[in-house]
Amino acid sequence: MIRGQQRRLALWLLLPSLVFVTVLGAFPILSQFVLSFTDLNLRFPADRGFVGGANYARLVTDAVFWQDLGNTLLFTVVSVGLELLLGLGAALLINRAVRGRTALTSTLMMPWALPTVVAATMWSLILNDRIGLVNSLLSRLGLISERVLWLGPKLAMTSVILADVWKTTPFVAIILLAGLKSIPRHYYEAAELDGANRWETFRAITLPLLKPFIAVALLFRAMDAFRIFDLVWVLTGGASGTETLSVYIYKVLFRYSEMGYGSTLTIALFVIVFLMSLGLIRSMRVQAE
Amino acid sequence: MAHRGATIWSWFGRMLLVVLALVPIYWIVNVSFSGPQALYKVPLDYYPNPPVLENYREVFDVNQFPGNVGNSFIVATLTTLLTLALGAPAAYALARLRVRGRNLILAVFLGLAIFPAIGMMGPLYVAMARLGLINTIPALVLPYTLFTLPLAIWILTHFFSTLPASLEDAALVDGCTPPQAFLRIILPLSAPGLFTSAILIFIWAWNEFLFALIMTTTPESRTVPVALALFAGLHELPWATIAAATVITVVPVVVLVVFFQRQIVEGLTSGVER
Amino acid sequence: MRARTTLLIVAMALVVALGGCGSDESGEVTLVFAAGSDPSGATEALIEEYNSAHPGVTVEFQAMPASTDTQHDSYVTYLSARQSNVDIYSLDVIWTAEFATAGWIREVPEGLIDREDFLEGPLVSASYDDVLYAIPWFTDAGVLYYRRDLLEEAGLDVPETWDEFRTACDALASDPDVDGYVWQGARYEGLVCNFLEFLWSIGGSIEPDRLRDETPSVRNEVAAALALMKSLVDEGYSPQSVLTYKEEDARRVFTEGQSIFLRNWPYAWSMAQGEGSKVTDVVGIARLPHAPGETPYSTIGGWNVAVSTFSKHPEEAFEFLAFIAGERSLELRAIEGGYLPTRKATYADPDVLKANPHFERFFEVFRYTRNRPRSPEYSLASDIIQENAHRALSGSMPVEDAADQMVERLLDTLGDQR
Repeated sequence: MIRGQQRRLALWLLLPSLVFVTVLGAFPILSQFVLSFTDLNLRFPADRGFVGGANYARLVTDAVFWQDLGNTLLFTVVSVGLELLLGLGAALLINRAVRGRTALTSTLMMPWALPTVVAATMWSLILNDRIGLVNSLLSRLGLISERVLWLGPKLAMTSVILADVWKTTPFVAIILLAGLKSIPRHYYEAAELDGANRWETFRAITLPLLKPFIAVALLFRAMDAFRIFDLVWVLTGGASGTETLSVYIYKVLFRYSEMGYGSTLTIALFVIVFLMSLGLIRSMRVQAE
Repeated sequence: MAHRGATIWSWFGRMLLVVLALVPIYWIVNVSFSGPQALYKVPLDYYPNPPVLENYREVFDVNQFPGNVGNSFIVATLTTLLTLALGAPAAYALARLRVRGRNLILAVFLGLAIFPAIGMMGPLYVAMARLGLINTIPALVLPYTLFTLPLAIWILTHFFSTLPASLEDAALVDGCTPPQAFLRIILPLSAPGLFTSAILIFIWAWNEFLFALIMTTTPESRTVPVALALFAGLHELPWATIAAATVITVVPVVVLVVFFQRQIVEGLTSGVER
Repeated sequence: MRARTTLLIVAMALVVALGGCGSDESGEVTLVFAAGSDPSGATEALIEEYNSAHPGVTVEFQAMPASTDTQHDSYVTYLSARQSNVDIYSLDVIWTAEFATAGWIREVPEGLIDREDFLEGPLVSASYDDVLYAIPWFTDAGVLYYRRDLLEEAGLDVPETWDEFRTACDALASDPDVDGYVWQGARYEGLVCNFLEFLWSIGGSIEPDRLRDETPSVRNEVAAALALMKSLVDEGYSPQSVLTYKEEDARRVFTEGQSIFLRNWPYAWSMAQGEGSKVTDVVGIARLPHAPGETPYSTIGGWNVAVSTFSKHPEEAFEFLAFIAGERSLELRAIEGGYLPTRKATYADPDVLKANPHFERFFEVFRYTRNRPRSPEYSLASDIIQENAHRALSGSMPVEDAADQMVERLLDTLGDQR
């Protein structure tokens, strides 16, 4: 194919999605940018005015913002880290299975298939200190003598992470599984002929070829984890150090109807996650060449 | 020797996986088949004792629920189709053709995926309302596609790029036109990527709550997550009924997943080179 | 090919519109009434009644999730976009100021209702700046539930002061699995209700004028209230888990027989008499404990109904408003759904009392109720109270600091109120 032809074809292929995204997404996103420089309160739209960088200045001194940023960071790092490890393990296990692969994968998909709100409500039931399954099991097994307050001040973040890992590890596993399947089998056959053991095979073949998929999984998981909302909202309402940035944005936008500052926070969150993603991409050196 | 040891560990690992994934699910199913008071028994019963069907009966009594399941199904399916229809060609172009500013485009899609959806809710609602689309299917399908397109493009771009570079050339040599090469050769080989994206998109659309709540206002047009939220009373949370409704809604998704799974497993055989 | 098929499907889908319109050429008026879903079915029945009795007007019920937050989000989204999709809104009592100052709800026309018919507290919650913006629909207030049997057995009177309360708990503390007092201490709106009750019970208050003019006293009262709440947990009268309790969590503990006292809303009574409760017939209702000489006020909960500013048919909407908050509606909702009426007369209605004999007792308790601070910035104020109270309770912030912060930030937020 000559270059001109290629470029034209590429244009036609890309056009639908680009147009779609621009038409539908440009207005909401741009309006957020613009609004972040105003003090618009939805309840008093007539009073709105351009305030320049005042919102951003407020952001810098907003203690709640920094605190929530810390909470969100903690949650993201731990949660995504665990999900990658467990997801990789799960994908490897399933890939290795000779029989029952379908059943295994379907089973694995179940947590992901639940609506987040339902999963969160379910976890709040399971982690309930009096009637929850976890405490019931633990005490039956004699492992605890006193009821554990899973959603209390000390363990709230742990419980949120637990629920999130349970729910979204399938997402990582599925992506990695697809990646594993894209590795041609004869690579492994060749390695076996060369006498490599499982660990060496893993390091030399599987891991490098999986890298792009790990990158995608890591990227999207990190982005999603950083913006987590539903789970936290239902489990703890943001109490005891679990309030994430999204929870804060939600409150500012919908509780206080502060569209101006809310947009500023949204932009800030966006910028942070965007930079984080770029950093991730660069460090994983995603090859899409 | 090492082989047998590995097998035992894999077996154990698989069992652990199943247990961890399933125990909470089992719990919901258990609750759905138990009487409303069973949860408060001390010590807890770990199985329905005795099993009851009243929760399921109650769910179906709520007249709109089956319709809501249908709505969710349609919205999720259309979202998946639209996203793939838009995303697959785009991913192909980004992966296989030389595009100037490819990284910029990928960054744009990334940026879109990152942008917090909460912020977009107000403007999108206003847009849909002005277009008179509230309570219609496009009001959900269009925003959902907007949100799932980036993920689909990223996954598919990677998938397409793992295919050997010589594939199109071989097809062209055989006399195919570029579109034919895409449809007859590339697409089938990227089935695993397509179905993976499809599952993720479908489930995401199936579970979305916030936009569904705002864009639908009549009982007939609600989707499942909103319908589930309607079961809760002012203070009470009827666990048993919610559990039954949840089970009902998860079943179609599971069935679909199982169906897609076969495609993935069959999708790729050794010898992509061929 | 694929794209074309998809486009076709989407086009077809576009035709499958499920929206309703305001009115068609025949002059038929359609009104939409948005409110939390009513499991008893009473609301739907009432709407049907109204529709049959009013040819030319059709009222549609848009059931919302009962969660107050979810409704708030949806309504704010509709109203800030100035949509006419809903004509009549049911509003949580704490939103009146917010919605009124934003110009989202209309003033109730003079003469539509007789204010004398209604309970004082709810009526105040439906007004702002002395203007009535909504009609009280159903009400709620915190009450103390207690185990009559246990108190009788130990020969104790129902405690009235905090000291008597503690003594009673001590006397009945034989079983380690049974807690003394359970209430709502999770970080949510309910905590504000509980906190205010504690504050009022020791003679404190956070009225905006007092906040402004008597800041140090208010601050001390807040600190004392927080200390009181914390001491209940620290000294073992309330379990640590109370910090994670919402209404149902606390209610469950009580109806399982695992606590002696419970603070909750009236709905808990029916739960206590219902299926699965271990404490049917042995529950009593009393006023909340208080400091000697102080009045134990209960926080007012409940919902009001209002007409949207953007409604295309305000006249018909107000007519419906008067009906849905009228005697007949309140009676039916009380009988079928146990919703507490906001009209005084309904509490004397024989059918209502037959279905809800405990209403009489509640009516007595309801003589002493107060509203949460009525301010357009209530959401922020509530958050401030929740955050600081919860921190103080969990020990992550000393009570004194929490009180300081709470009062300081409340002053900022509510200070301009009159």
